[in-house]
Amino acid sequence: MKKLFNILTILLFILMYSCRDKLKPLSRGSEINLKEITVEADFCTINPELSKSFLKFIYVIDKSGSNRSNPGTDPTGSRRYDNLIQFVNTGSSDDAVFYSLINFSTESSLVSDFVTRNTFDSTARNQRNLTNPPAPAISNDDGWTNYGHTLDRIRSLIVNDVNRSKEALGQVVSSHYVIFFLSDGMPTDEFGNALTEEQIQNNLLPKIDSISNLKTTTDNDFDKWIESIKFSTGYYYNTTVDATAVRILEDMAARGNGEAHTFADGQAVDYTKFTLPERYVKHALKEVFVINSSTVWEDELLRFDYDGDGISDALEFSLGSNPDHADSDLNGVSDGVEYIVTGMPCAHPQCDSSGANPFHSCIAYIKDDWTFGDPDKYTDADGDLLNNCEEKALIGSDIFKFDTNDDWITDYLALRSKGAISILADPKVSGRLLDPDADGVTNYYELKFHTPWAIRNAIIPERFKPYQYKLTQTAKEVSRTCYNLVVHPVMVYDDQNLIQLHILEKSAIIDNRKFLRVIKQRASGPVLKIDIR
Amino acid sequence: MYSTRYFGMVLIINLMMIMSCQEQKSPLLPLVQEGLKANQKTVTIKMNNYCLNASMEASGFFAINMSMKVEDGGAYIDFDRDGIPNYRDESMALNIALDDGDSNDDGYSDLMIFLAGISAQEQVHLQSKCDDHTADSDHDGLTDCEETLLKTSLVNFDTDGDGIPDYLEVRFGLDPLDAIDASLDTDGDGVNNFNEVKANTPVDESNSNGIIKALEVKYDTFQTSTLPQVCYSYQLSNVSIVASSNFNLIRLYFIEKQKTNLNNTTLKIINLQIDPSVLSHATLEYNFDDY
Repeated sequence: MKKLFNILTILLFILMYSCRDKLKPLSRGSEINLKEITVEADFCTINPELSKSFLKFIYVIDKSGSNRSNPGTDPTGSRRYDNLIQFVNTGSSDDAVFYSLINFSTESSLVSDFVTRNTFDSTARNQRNLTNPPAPAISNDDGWTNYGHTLDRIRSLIVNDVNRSKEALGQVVSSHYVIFFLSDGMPTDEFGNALTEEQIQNNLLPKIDSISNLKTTTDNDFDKWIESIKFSTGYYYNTTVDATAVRILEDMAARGNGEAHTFADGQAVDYTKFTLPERYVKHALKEVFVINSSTVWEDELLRFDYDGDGISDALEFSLGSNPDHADSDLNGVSDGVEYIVTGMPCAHPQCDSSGANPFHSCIAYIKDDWTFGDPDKYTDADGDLLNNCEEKALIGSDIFKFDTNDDWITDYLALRSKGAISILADPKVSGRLLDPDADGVTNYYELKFHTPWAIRNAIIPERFKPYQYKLTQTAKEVSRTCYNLVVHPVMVYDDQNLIQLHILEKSAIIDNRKFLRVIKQRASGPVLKIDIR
Repeated sequence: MYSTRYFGMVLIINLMMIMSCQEQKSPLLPLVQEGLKANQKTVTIKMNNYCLNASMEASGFFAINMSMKVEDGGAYIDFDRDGIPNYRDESMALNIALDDGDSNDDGYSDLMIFLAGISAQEQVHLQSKCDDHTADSDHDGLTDCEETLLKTSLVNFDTDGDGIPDYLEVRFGLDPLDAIDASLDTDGDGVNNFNEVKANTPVDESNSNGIIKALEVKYDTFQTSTLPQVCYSYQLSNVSIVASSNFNLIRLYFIEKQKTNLNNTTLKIINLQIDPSVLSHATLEYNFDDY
């Protein structure tokens, strides 16, 4: 009786299967159709122009009375402004560099919001020569050195700039903010009293933190719009150095991830002493992978996987999941991820999708800080082909890093190795360089050449051939390198097989950002050409 | 056409004058046409009597011909040995010259500028940051200024500990702060990046290109004695010698580590100058004690 029931179940499955799939030939996935194709890709590293960010200078200049008094620290303005004018004119001139100016004495005032080089040049000249002063009392160098008021103004300048950029620009273009804070004396309050040590520690330095912390503020996406904030200080004096002022300015620079420099004995302020953030950084190619995601290794067989969820049609059939849908029970988590992590392809015991939540709510794997119906759970924040729910709730990987453990094997590709290469473990022990099937080919190479990690390559059927890569440089330009990649043979079952090209790169040598591009194309004919130059 | 050639001649004559004033540099050889693919020959180099102190063991060895670079499907002459072959050196955008490893005299080698893609305009802002252009505390070939910019260690010649000295990582386009990239095989040719560096071949061009395959440097090690010291003879075969108008500079990196503390490593560098007029297939023998 039980046997009969089993047979009936199987018949029912076959019936369901054939009903769903009237248009597809029943022979789909038959090894008779297996053929070798060539994948040829032309691509270049990402041009840094595309990920370019703005460089925004904030000059904060002391206009207190001691500058032009007799004997002043800078009677003619040449110490503060001559090199500034030169620096602005010899620096970058493109449309992504902006300059602003804050004057301070008893109070602070924003003389110029962010403007381009040419506009700023005349502003700086006016300040030097005391011509056309926009705010006379301040431009004439008079009063005390109210640091606190000035730091508040710097912060509000950045906040306003981010808010304005967000309104004006459709997409995120981040900015490097570079602050030069110049003074010839101790910080005072608005009445000219020098700040006490306690006031400096409790009031002044925390204001620097509140500027620096804008970089990490996730409210309003400030962290995405601000690439870096660097607060550097300069102290200039004539003959007697005020050691306390030097120390305070050094502390301020240290708190603001900047540098402190002093300029003695009439020496002009040298703005080139301060290091600047690098903006243009060429990319270096780190890794290329070609995979056919419509095929999957199961024991010694490279099997057909119509829905590309990482479980072959044959195995899905025996597991009871839907071979035509990567997420059979529509719970928002693909069958492959669930199968590898939990041992079952579905949260629903029969892989029934009829009761699925319309939000694909990931309900079986809901985490404390996720709310019901939260759409963020199904986006793929890092673009590694695993959605946020799969990464956060099941795998435990980082939803914002396509390569959580930094071993240059993306989380998705590591998952496809079904544990042979760890997604999370330190790269030194992640299994990349192990060879569990003792065929002389490490897990890394098994992945790259599309061979099984658990079966010796010598005993797999000859019809499943390893991929071979040939990478050639086609152009080496100032800001990018171009390549031609030929991979042959790539084993496909039919022209609808989905070929994926993964390109991993890093901004070269003096920066540390990683980039992933995944290009998916259906195999078509004997040569699949991918051109993304 | 004429004028280009004329300028080329003037340039080379200027070079000759500059070179002849500098006692450090090698004497000039007959002029050859620089910049084209190197019509290289190969020699075998033997370094004999490399003996280890009893507390140390050998942990790595690299032999790099600094006077050439394999890229773009072939071998190219690099007169100033800065890692950017002649045919790229005159890039206007980057202000890089073929006869000077640091064309803008900012303390950062042309290689760094090229790899980072720092435009001529941005270089203005780099200039004043390096006060001492020559200091190299760990003697790995990267100056302290460069290491500061790269965020690598000033005192450890192999910051990420992957076995490739920092300078060679930079020269071959690898990341001196990434211990993983030595074991990747970026170009998928079956020669991983570590072995590409040893072979003097590019990490991002497959050696299945026959020309590159033919340029791979081969290494053989013979232990010649075990007592009282462990001594080796290192044999390098298929070392390319290019027709540069400068001596070929073959730089040998000997890396040793202490037996009792594997983190304690040392680097010895030996420079061999080889005349480009050497006979092809010659075997050149050297004695480690002479260096």
